[in-house]
Amino acid sequence: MILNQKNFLPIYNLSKIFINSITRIDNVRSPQKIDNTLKAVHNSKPLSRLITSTTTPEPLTSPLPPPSHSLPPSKYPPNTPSFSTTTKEYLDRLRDQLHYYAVIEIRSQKFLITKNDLVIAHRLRDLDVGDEIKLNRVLELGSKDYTIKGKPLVSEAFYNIKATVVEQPKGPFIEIFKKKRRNRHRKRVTHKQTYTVLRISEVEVNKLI
Amino acid sequence: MLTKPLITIAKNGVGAFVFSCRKIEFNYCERSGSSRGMIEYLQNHLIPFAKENPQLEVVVTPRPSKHPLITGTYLNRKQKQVCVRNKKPDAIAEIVKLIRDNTGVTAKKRFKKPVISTTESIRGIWSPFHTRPHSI
Repeated sequence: MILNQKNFLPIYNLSKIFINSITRIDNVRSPQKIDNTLKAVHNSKPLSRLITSTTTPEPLTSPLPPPSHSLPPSKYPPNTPSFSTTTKEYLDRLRDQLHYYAVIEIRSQKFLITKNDLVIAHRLRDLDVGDEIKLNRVLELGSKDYTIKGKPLVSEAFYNIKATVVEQPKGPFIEIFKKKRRNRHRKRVTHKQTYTVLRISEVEVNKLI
Repeated sequence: MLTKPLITIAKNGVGAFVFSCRKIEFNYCERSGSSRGMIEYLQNHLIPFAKENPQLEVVVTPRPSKHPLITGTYLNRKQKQVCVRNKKPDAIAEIVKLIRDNTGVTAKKRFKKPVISTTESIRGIWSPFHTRPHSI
């Protein structure tokens, strides 16, 4: 992780390589019911990790007062490295700045997103309208003065990015007509590209304990 | 002086998600041959679909001497009509799914940009006076 701070203070180089663990579990789909609680939360492709419970953090029973966006240790992904105090301090600096952006990857398509954005991605066939996704491939996470660049991905324990599927439309009608004169050659190709439109519902930076 | 509204404009999907399709209406003719697939769909496939989607209003109306028609109505009061003459029930099911998954937005150019955002740039717009320490 490299923490780049603008305004030319010295750049602190902490070279850490984060290796995302790859686990694949079959998705379980519940029938379509639009209630606004999270019903099935699963990560974006190509890594699929099913989380059947809601992802709102449960209140901590430790004597310390629980921070609002903290991730309880039991809910860290399995192979999370324990972080040094400098990492936590730098992440707190990023977290104190209130507006964040992230460069995410959905099926090898990259998007630069903030909260409340609409993302128009290629059609994701295993999703239904109303599903909520947790995004787990983030290449860069930043704010006004600080950014974290992943190598190649930022550790999942740092962020909590969720999106809702809003619709799955088809694009405009495209007609490709090829013709060669006086050769009886005519070809007509029609195409309507399929898309999935996601609304980024939250982009949050976690507080590491 | 106010330049922006004080109330945030609702973004569907951020806090709560509201389904965009409100109503799907099925029109068929009892006699004509182009409605045969539609009638089979209505008899066999429609009721499970309606049960799986309690948020939709499903209306079935005969429309004699006309081709079968599926009309979807959306939250922005726009409609999407598809004529399903001479189609098999499987194809009709796909069309119904397409209508259901859609919103009423008809702009063709919205697929040109991958991200549609109303937040200002987080890192700020570049300015030549703030890139390096300088003195005049």
